[in-house]
Amino acid sequence: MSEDPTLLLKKSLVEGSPHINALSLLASNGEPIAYVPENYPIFSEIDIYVRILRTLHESMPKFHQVDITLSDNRHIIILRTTGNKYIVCKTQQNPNLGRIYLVLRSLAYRLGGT
Amino acid sequence: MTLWDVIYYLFTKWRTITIPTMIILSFIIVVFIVLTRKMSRLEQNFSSLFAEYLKSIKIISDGLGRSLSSTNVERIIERLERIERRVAPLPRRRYEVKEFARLDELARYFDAYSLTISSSEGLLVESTLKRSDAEIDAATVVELYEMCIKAFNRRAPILVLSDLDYGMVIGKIESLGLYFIMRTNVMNIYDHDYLYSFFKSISAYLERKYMSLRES
Repeated sequence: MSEDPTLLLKKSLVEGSPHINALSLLASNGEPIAYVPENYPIFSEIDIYVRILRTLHESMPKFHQVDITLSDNRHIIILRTTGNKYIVCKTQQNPNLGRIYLVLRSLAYRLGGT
Repeated sequence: MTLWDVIYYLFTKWRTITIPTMIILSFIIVVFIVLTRKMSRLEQNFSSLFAEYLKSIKIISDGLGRSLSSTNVERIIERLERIERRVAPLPRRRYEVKEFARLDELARYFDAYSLTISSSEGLLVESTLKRSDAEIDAATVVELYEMCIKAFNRRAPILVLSDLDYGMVIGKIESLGLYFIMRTNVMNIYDHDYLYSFFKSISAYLERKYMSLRES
């Protein structure tokens, strides 16, 4: 039986601490399935993520992972899971990317069955 | 010129010598011979006592030639131990395999100048260095390690490199696909126990921290 996506995201947030600010799991149409922390204003950013995903689908239908660096050195990392859902990770400034990738790949694997 | 040459000279050539002078000279010669023999015996005693009492101590001869009472021996032992402490290099600290909760604690225990963990893509996982230096180390270690392994044409969990100032220990934890790079005192990289304890400790630390990510 698969674990609750919110619990998995919470676990990954702890594992990626203090480098990950927020994690969300989006359906293929961009609709949020789960997100942490629970008070994170995901809905104010959802429009941006949907537009990014749409662009990626059109230009690179087989994309697996995208890392966008913002001007303040925060990163937005989008990772496709095997279940065709998307993990969106927003990091702190200057994160330890090696550690974040380990956490996100592990999360993608765990979410694969959900 | 031997002693007999001197005596022969005194008796044959030095005709002005008086009888009392001859007696005094003979007495001095006899005393000299007796003392020489006595000194030789004392020296033998000294050596045997040293061998008996100071078996485990590296002795630096201080020219002592006195007969030794047990009190003297104890005093000499103390003195030699003081000399040994002053002359011998400081004994190396023993490093043991230990569990650490944090990377900086591990680095401190092993007297590391810096310690950085890198992912297989050369991205920073964690480090004791400031970010800009840590990212350079993380990117360097993967390339450096793989280059050395290719050159040696065999796998090795740990490699040591050095210049005159410091030693560098690089390696890979195969089970996790993580690389590490540590800078330390150049003497440490010649110490097998140090390297063994360091590798075991860092393996345990990383496996405890990252194996849950890898297993999934």
